[in-house]
Amino acid sequence: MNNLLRFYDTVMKEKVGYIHTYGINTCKHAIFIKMSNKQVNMYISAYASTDNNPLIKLYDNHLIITAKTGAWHYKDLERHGLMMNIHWRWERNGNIVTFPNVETIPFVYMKVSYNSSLLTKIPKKIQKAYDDLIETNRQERNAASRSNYHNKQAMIRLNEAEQTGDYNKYMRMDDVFKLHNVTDRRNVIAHFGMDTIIATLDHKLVDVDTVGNNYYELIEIDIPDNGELTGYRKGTYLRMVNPSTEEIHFEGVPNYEVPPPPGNRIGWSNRIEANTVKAALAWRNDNLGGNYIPPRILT
Amino acid sequence: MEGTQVRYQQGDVILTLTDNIPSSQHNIVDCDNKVVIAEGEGTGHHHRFELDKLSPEVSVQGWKKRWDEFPTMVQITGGSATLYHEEHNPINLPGGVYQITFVREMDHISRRERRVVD
Repeated sequence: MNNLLRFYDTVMKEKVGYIHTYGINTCKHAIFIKMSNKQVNMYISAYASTDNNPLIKLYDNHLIITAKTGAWHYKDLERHGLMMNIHWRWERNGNIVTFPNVETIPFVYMKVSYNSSLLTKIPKKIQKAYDDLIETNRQERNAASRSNYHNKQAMIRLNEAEQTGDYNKYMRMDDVFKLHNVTDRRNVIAHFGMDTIIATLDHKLVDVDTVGNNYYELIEIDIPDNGELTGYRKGTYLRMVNPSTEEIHFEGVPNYEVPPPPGNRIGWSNRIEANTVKAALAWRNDNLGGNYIPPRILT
Repeated sequence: MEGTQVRYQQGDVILTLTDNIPSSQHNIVDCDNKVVIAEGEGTGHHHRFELDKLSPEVSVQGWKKRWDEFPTMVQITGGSATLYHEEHNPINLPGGVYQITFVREMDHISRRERRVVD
C-alpha cells in the first residue's frame, strides 16, 4: 500500500485542485486530485473515459476503497503494484477481496489502513452473502469433482467395452449422462437406444393431449448430471406413437421456463411457450408463437 | 397467415402448400425414377416420390437452392402424387407447390437443438 501513500504525499504538497496523472498502462490512467487539505481522490480513466466515482479516497493514515466501480479496475491497480497485499479475484459466482487480516466480498466504502488491513467492520448482510458465496462455490467445486470422477470411471468402462465389443457387460445405461465427450455418448446411445435409456429414468407426466387421432404425452425427466448441485437436471420430452408403425418414441423439446420480461428476448427460442403438448408440438414444427398447426394428414 | 397454411407431415418431413417457386430455386433432375426429398442418416430410409408409379399426366419436380443436397420445394402438377417412406404410411398429396421443412428436437444430453432424422 506504500505506493498509494507516496502519491498521497506527493499531491498533498500542492494546492487544492492539483491533478497528478499516473499511467497504469497504455489506455488506463490513475488520476489523483487533491480535494482538500486532508483528502485526495483517485479516479480511473480508461480509454479516454473517466468514471465519476473515485476508486479510492486517500487520507493521511487510511484510505477508503469506494468499490462503486468495476472490480476489474482494482485488479489492475493490484497487478501494477499500486494496491499491494490486497488481492481481488472472481471465484465462480462473485468477486472476493482478500486483505491480510480478513476476506470478504467487496462492499462500498471499505476503510483500509496503509498496511492493507481492513478497518471497517464487515456488515452482517455482507458477511452472510460472503458465507453463501463460499458455500455455493464449495458445492459447485464438489459437483464438478464428482462429474469428473464419474466421467473417468465411465471412460474406463467404455474402453473395456470397445476393446471387447461387449457393451452389455461393461457399460451401464446411465453412462450416457456421465461421459463428457459427445462422441463417446453417441456410441453408448447407438448401443442402447435413446428411447430405451429415457424409458428407464424416473419421469413426471406434465400434460397429455390427443391431436387428430394421435395421443401425446409431455414428460419431464430427471437427467442424472453430477455437474449439477442436485445431481440432476430437467429434460422435457414428447412421448408419441408413430401412427404408421405404432412404435413409441421420445423426442426432446426445450424445457418450459417462465417467459422473460417484455423486450427481453434472451432465450426466446430455447423454450416452449407453455408446459403443454400443443406448445411442444408447435416448437417441434417451428410454428410461430407457440400455436400448433396440425397437419391435414400425419403419417 | 400461418394458421391458414395447409400442411402435410410424414414423420420428420413437413410439406406446406405455398404459392409459387422463388426465382432463386433451381430444379433438379430425378434419379432412378425417384424424387428423394430427405434421407435417413444410417438407415438408408428416404422420403420419396416414385415417378414410375405416377399417373401418366402427373409430374413431380424437385426444386432446391444451388448449395442444397435435397430439394427444399416440390411441385406436383397434373394431379396428385404419393410420398413414400419405409417407416411411414404413404401420403397422397394434391397438386401444388410445397415448401419442405423438417421437425426439430432438443438433445438434452448435448443441450443442442437438431433436426429430427428418421
